[in-house]
Amino acid sequence: MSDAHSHATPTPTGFVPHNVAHHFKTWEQEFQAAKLGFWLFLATEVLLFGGLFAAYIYYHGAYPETFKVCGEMLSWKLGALNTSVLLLSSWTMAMGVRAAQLSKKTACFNWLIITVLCGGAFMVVKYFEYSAKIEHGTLPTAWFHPHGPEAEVLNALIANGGQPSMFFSIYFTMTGLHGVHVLGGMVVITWYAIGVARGRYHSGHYLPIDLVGLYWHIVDIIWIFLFPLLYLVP
Amino acid sequence: MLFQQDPTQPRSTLPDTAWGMPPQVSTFAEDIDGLYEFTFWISIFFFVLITGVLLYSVVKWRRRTEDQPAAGNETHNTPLEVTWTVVPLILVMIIFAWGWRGCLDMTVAPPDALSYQVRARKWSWSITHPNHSEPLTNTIYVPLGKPVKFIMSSEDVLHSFFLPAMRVKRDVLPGRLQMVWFEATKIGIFPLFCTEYCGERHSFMIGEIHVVSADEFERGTKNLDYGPKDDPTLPLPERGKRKYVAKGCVACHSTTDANMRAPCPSFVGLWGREEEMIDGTKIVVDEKYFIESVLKPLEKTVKGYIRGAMAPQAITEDEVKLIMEYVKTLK
Amino acid sequence: MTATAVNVPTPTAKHYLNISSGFWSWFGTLDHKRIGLMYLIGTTLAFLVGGLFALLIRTHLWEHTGMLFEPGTYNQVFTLHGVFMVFVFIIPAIPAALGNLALPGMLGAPDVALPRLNLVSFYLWMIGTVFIVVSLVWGAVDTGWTFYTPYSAQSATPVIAVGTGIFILGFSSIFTGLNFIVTTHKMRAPGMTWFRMPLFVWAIYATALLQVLATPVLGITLLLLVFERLYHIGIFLPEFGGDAVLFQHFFWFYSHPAVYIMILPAMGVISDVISVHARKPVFGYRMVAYSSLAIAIISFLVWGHHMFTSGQSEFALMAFSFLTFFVGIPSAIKVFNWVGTIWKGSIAMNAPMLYAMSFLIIFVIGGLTGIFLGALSLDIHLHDTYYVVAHFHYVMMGSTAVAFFAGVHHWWPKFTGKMYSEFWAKVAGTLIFIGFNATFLPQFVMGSQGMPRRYATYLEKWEGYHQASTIGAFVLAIGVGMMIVYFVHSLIAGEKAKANQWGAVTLEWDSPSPPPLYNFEKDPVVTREVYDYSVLTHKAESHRA
Repeated sequence: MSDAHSHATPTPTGFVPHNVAHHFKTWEQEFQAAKLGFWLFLATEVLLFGGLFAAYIYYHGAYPETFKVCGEMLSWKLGALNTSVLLLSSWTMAMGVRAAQLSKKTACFNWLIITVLCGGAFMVVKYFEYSAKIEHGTLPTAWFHPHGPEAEVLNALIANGGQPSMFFSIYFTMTGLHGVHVLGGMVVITWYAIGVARGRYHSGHYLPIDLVGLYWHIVDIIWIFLFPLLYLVP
Repeated sequence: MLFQQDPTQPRSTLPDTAWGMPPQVSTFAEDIDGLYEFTFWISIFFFVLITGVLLYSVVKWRRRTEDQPAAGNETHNTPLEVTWTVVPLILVMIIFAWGWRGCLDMTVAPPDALSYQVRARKWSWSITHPNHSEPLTNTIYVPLGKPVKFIMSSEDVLHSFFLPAMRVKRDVLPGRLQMVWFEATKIGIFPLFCTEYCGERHSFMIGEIHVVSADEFERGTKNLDYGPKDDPTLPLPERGKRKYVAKGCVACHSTTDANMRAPCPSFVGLWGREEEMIDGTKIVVDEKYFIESVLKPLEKTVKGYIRGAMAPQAITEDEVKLIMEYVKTLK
Repeated sequence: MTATAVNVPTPTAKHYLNISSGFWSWFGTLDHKRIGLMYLIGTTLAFLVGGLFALLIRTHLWEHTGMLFEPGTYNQVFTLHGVFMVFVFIIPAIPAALGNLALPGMLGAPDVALPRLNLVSFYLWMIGTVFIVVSLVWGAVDTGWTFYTPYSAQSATPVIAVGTGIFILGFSSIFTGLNFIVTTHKMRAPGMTWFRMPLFVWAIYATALLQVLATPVLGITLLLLVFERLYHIGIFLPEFGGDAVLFQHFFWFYSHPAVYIMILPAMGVISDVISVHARKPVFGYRMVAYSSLAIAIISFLVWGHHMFTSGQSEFALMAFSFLTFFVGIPSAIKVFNWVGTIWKGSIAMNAPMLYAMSFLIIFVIGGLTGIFLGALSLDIHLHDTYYVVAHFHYVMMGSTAVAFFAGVHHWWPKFTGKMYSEFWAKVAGTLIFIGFNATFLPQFVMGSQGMPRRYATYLEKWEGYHQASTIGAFVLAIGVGMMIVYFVHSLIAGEKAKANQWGAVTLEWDSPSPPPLYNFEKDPVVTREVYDYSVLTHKAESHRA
């Protein structure tokens, strides 16, 4: 290998230069390899959730009445609020990526931080939703002791062969796993926001921001599916 | 030999077929064995063809000098490649159609089939015969020449009901009913196996199926021979012993060997013994503890045993009391 | 490294093995060959552990009442055998060990596209394995490697630790596959078109697609199983309205493609080994390449054939059986093409070729017995008997592991720079072939007679077959032991290997043995077609002249 391979990408003044990894011939090759790899990773994420969607479809078919009754117990208003918060964060994320491409350090930092805050707002709303469920005992299986206002409806449902605890199992597993992804995204975006502030990402090297943006959009899209399936379809 | 309680080996009163399959005792057997033979000969043909060509090539075109080039350099031959794609495809489609047709016959029982109830649990089968209320453990009687069907469910984990001589098998699931049916064609005794792994004593979950003549079956059913009878005139320990067999306790709990321990304690010397629980408390085996242990086996667990090894059983308190009377006699 | 230093090879030439030393030069390395070599050692150790469990199983079954263990202990031993062999050994064995060693060189690339991810993948493999090994402290799992619910949700053994371990191993596998896909797309040398890629690369590429697309489903399945044990979420538990069979659908949706994650790379190894040692282009190259992709795609649609007795609808039975036969055709095409490659070749009966021949014969038996199991009515009789055990050992152990051995013998001189003893390699190869067949042929007979699998005790009439099988297992073990010994000997005192030991024409043999850090002294440019052995004759002629 000749030294020609390890070279820095064009770096605007005031930013940290980025060296193309030794085994790549060109900057484009590195960029495209990372992009393709990341898309494949996102495919595995989609398939991971795909398993849960399959379980959802299966039990929705097995207990349609349960999913109807229990779905109505979720607050579609809070769900819609969260959907708009996430959509907003997707937009701010996209703006952050754009700012990174244009080497606008402060703007990029701000957009990323707003994105993290939106993620935080989403988690706060989720916290209120969860605590209401916990308070009313509308929980999976062994913890299922409904005693809130819904208790009567749920007991009637069980008497008719419904399985409300199954709905809540699926609800908590799906939204829980999604919540973990939101939290993970918030941590990673914060990490890169610090990198942005230190000048690591610029027009010559915005790849990591681009990739974390893709991740954030996928997390958003998964929620776009979760919201109608759990809150609205029933 | 490690097992103090070697289960009785199920008998097979007819020899295996010349093809190494179990005796053909149901109407399905001949068709399935025919498919087996057909596939076998096709396999032999291709195996001999492929290994033959391989060995021939290795001998004929062996590399003798270090720089010997290949004898030919053909890289493809379209007619040949099409042939070895299409011919196997046709053959496997024949096998597919044959197997599918055979399988369809097995999925729907004739409307006049005699109905048996099968309850599977760790690790025994309890089979309720037609017109009976009391089940038999690990033993089935079926009439010759009449379709019979088994409606099956499990009390705990997955099991699978396998009668090799009848060529039938079906997984037995908790929370769902499953069905197999067949029509027996020969008189004799044949093995019954559990073929879905179900825990510790999976390989002990075996039994026998007796094919008897239609007359004998008629008589047996009428006289309730195919079910242990509870005779209130008998002494309590004797009635308890019958319950012990009928309820399937016999599958795990020894009544002969006091040294049997986990997963299931021997009943010999159990009564009045002081046991240490996993939480350290000590309990003497008395009436209250015995009844609780059978009806709510998950409540207390003795040290050295696994909680949940015994699932809650389908048994009434009166029946437990009878069994207890029997256990009291096993010193 | 300056250009002049590279272009003048000296007797003490630096290659990837001696360029640096010390613990972190290995455990912190980004070099695909070092990572591949560590995988090779790791998976071989896992194979030996799994093999030890296999010997315990076979010894126990010497008597029909069981010779060594209580039935519960026996269940733990066969579970560990399965878990080690399937998840720790065979899934990473060929892609992660041989793939890492050979694939970048075959493409003319200096390394895989994502070297850091490659190292992460190796660490995940180690961490996952540690989870499984550490779980032994709490008592080994006894659920079988399939973890069927509801038993796995109730078992008193450490299912959570092992489930987590396999979850982590799954991500190791995903990252390896992801890396190979990106490498194949983005790292090919100039002139290396898709149809100039060796078939090993095609096979690893098809495998990688499966690793990336199927393994996440195993991940979510195991995650749900862990939740099931921690919180009883009930999705697989009938007492909470769940369905135990749903677990099987989830599990086999991954684990059937996983069977091809095991066998496809083996087929790739065999294509290359046979071509080199018969000195002839692979017959019907394009068909073999396409059949790898066809297998990868169809394998996603046949998972239901593991559940013919679980109670599926007639339509599902028909569809799964039909597709099962359909996926057999590409495999059959490959076999015929290999035979066509050998036909009129220049056949060197050396160790790699001997293992490849073993593979062919064993794979033919494994494939043909698969036809019996695909036929619906016949499968109902054979399902979950020793017939199935024998069949999948023919495919997984007899085919994949033997192909793995063939590959190791083939690439050993390239990546260690040393030769092994041809004589002992042939003896070991023969013992493995004989021992393997003696172990598993009797199991076909027992299976068709109705001997169920996973039985700690069995009917007396099968004792003879079991004893034959046990003797075979020990012969097999002696063969494997011999192999380990001569490989270790080769490392210490082996003859120096040539740069192109076998007269191969794929790119990885264009560099010295062992290769330098970035594989090639000069960036390769590909101008010839794949498997064009006329290059060799030209060289030989110009030599003589």
